Amino acid sequence: MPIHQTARTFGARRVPTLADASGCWQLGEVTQARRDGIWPGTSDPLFSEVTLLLAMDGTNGSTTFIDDSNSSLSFTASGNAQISTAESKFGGASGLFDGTGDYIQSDTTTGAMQFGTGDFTVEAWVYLDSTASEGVIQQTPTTNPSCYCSIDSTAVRVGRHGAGQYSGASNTLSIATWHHVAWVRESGTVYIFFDGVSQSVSDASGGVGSYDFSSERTVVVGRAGALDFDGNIDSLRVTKAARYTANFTPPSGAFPTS
Amino acid sequence: MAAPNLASPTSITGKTTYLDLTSTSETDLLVNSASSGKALRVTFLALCNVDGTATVDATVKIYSAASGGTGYEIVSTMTVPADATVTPLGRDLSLWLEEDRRLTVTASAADDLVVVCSYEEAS
Repeated sequence: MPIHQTARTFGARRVPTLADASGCWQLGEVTQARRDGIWPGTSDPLFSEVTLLLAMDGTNGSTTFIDDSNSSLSFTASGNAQISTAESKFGGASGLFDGTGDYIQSDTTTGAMQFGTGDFTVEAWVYLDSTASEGVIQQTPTTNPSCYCSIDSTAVRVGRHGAGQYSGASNTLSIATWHHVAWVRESGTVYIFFDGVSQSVSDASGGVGSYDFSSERTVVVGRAGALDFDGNIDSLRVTKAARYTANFTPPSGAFPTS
Repeated sequence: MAAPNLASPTSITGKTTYLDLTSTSETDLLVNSASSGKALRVTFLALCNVDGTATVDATVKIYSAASGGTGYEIVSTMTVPADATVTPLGRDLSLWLEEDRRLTVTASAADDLVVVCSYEEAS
């Protein structure tokens, strides 16, 4: 579209929509449109690689967890796992897990964490109510070759069930504070980021660096092995690509859904 | 050479420069070198997303030096929709680029953003 073909120049003033904002816009118009929530948001160039995207939004007390990824997985909540509006990083709500039998599980097996030996990024905002070891996400059954990600007050780990091997990094975690955590593998190298800062990773005994997560399995959020998550999880995303390999600024908004 | 006194410049020339961002690297758009004896007034800056389907994020910074220096955002990761053009600077919102300053542009995706910049060069 020619850049001068603007409503500002020709005819009635156009208003952009989320679906179509083609045309030429001055900065003030962009600012107003963004303020009005009608300026198209950022798309994710890696969205085709996103296999799980839980915004953890909804009404308070809801047990419906919507996957906005291409997988469109359905989840069933166990225990008291629910949407809570008491704490939120983005969107006004988050997933609440009380540390005792609370988790959500995909209704079917899925390739969402079937990473093979390829690259991946698992990331989430976590708000912990205790410093105990807590599972964020895992594949089940908890046998080889299932993947899990966990966090506690001293370490962040990505590991594999059935082998007891993991890649870990120390960290300083504060309870009742939102932290962004990312577990990344790129070309066999594991990176762990805590609030966007790369941690020194130990990948002893092969950890997960070159491990082949070869099976479709169910996905569980809020638990890893016997470790139940105690607190809130928001904006959890799994991508079959390495998004981060160096320090970065944690996302300042909800993840794009396209 | 000192920048000209804008009350009595020797010459004012209208110019336009272009940039096709073929990578996601930060790229110099307009540089006013140290001791150029010039002052550049940016009177038009268009960020055009030439991709028909995907949005692209654009960042524009002014730097405190023609090489290196500290960058200050004019536009920060602003979404430019598909087939859209955003004009963050214009004659009614112009920007002076003094000696030893530069403008840079960064796009979130390669080959999606074309930048056109018109400016007055006073010397």
